[in-house]
Amino acid sequence: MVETEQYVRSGRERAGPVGFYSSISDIPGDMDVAIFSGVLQYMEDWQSPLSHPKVRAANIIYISRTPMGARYLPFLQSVRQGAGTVKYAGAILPQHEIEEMLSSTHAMFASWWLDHDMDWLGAVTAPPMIWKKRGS
Amino acid sequence: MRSLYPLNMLRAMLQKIKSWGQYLIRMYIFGAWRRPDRYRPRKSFQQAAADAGGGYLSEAIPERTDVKPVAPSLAKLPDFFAPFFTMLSIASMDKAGQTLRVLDFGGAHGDYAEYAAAFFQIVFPLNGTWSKRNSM
Repeated sequence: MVETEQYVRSGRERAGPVGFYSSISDIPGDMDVAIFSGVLQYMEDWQSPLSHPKVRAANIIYISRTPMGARYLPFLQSVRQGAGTVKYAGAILPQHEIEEMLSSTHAMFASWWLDHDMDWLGAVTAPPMIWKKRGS
Repeated sequence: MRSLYPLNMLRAMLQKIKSWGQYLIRMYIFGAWRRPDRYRPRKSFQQAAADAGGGYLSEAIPERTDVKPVAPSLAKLPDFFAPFFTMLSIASMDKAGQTLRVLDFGGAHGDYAEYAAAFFQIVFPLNGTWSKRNSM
């Protein structure tokens, strides 16, 4: 698991079986699968994790719960949690850029047509994608 | 009869405007305010980040996010689980029973890993990877 320092600290305190790291580079060895589920849209530099050598070496790259569109569209998301509200910066990501990036090392193996209701931004496509490493 | 046609058209248009107006008011007052997630467009990611405050890097996030024990069930799953299980099946078959090393970037407390353990007989060694107990 690669997460923010807070989640890593929380995860390690619970001493579960899954390893928590704050950076992809900290994980020993290579990965078979890289999962990006509902995370890239919250990163200003969303290209970096997708470009990491360990990710590009993975046999499968799986992306899901990520709103994509024809162009980059930043948004502010408010999430009710208990009695309070947490706000996140995010963006609808340009699908063609993601596909261009990944297609140099991976080929689209499967994808789904799922919409994500984004309130004032309307229904946005958030297609789960399975990318397999070329030649694997 | 013919002379009433424009009047009827006008009345129909007013009806449509009224119903759309009612819909928008209802959505805003009763819908939008009750939704757990709300999205607002912003000019840039930086502006969204400034409006969000701490956002995902907030110290309060792991405390606010309830860490409940996951009780994996295949009933009433959200739609994005189907592609996840498909991906996991493909990855497992590719590895033919060998250890499956998974990077879950931004995976919070590791719920996907819990589902993988429950339905794919995947066990967790302490090195932070997922490995299969049996070949498929």
